[in-house]
Amino acid sequence: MPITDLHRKKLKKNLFVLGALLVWTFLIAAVAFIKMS
Amino acid sequence: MAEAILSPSAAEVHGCAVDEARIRDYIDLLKPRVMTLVVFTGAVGMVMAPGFLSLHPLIAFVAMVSLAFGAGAAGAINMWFDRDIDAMMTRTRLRPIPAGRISADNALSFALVMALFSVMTMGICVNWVAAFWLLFSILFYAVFYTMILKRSTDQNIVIGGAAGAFPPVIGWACVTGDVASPLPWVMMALIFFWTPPHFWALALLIKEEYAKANIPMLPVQRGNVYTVRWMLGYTVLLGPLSLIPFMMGAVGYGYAIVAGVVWAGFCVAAVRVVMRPDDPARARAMFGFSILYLFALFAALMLDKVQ
Repeated sequence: MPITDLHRKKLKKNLFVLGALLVWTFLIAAVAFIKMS
Repeated sequence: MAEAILSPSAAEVHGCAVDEARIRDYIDLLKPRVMTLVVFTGAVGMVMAPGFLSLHPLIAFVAMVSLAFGAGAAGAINMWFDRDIDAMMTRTRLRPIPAGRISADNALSFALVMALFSVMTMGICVNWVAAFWLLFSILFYAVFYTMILKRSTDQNIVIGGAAGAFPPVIGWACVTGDVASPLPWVMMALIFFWTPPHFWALALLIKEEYAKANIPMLPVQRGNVYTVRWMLGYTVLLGPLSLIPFMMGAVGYGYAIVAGVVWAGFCVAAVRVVMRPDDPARARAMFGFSILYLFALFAALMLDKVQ
C-alpha cells in the first residue's frame, strides 16, 4: 500500500498524542518524586 | 498493528472534514481567550491563599495546566453541544465544528478525554478538593449552563456565570486543600457579579444574532432599556463588593485605590450605555472596559496581598 499524505497526517496526529502522553507521564513521575522527598 | 496506526479511518478516506483539522483547530476548541481569564483568576486565588510560597513551583504549574485544560474541555463540550446555533451566528460560524474542520464526534471525544485528564491530574498531583471543584465547574458550565440554562431562560448568563467564577476557589484549594475561608468566595462573587454587565454588553451588540439563533438573551427577551438598567445595577454592586478583601485585611490601600478607580471607570461606561442603550459604540466600550476592570482588580489583589 503506497504511503499517502493521509497516512502521514494520521501518523503525525498519533505521534502528537503519544508525545503528549509521554510528557504527562513524566510530569506525574516528577510530582510523585517531589511529594515523596 | 502498524497498519492500524497508519491507516486512515473510513470517515477520513471519504473526505470527511476531519482531514482538515489542524492542531490550531483543537486549540480553538478549547476557547483560549476564556482560558486566559480562567488561568489568571485561578492564579490569583492561588497566590492569595496562605502558604502559597511553600507550594512547590512544579505542583503550582501542574495545577494551572490542569485548570486551563479543564476549562478548555468545558469550552469544547459547549462548542460540541452548541454546534447548531454556532452555525447560525456570524460571530461563531467559523468555529472548528460549524466550519467543518473538526467532526462533532471528534470534538466530543477530545473534550471528554481532556476533562478526564485534567481532573485526574489535578487530583493525583495537587489534591482531590481542587479536583472536585474543577469537576464541579466543568459540569456546571458544560451541562447545567450549556445544555439547560442557555436556551431556556433570560437569566442564563447570570446563573451560568457561577461556572466562570470558580477558578479563584480552585486556585485557593490547590494550596490549602480546603475552601472554608471566606476570601476565595468573595473573589468568586466578584467574577459572578461582573459577568452580567460584561456579557450583556456583548449581547447588546449582537442581539439580532441571538434572536436568529433563538437564544433568550436578556436584550432579546426584555429589550435594551431593561437590560442596561440591570447592567448598571450589577456594576454599582461591584463597588462595595470589591472592597470586602480590603475590609477583611487581606489586601492593602493600594488595592482599595485601584478597585475604586477602575470601578468608577466601569460605572461611567455603564451610565453611558444607560443614556444611549441603542448605541453599539457605547456597548462595545463597556465590553472592552469590563475585561480591563477584572484584570486590573485581580492584578491589584495579587500585587497588594498582605503577607
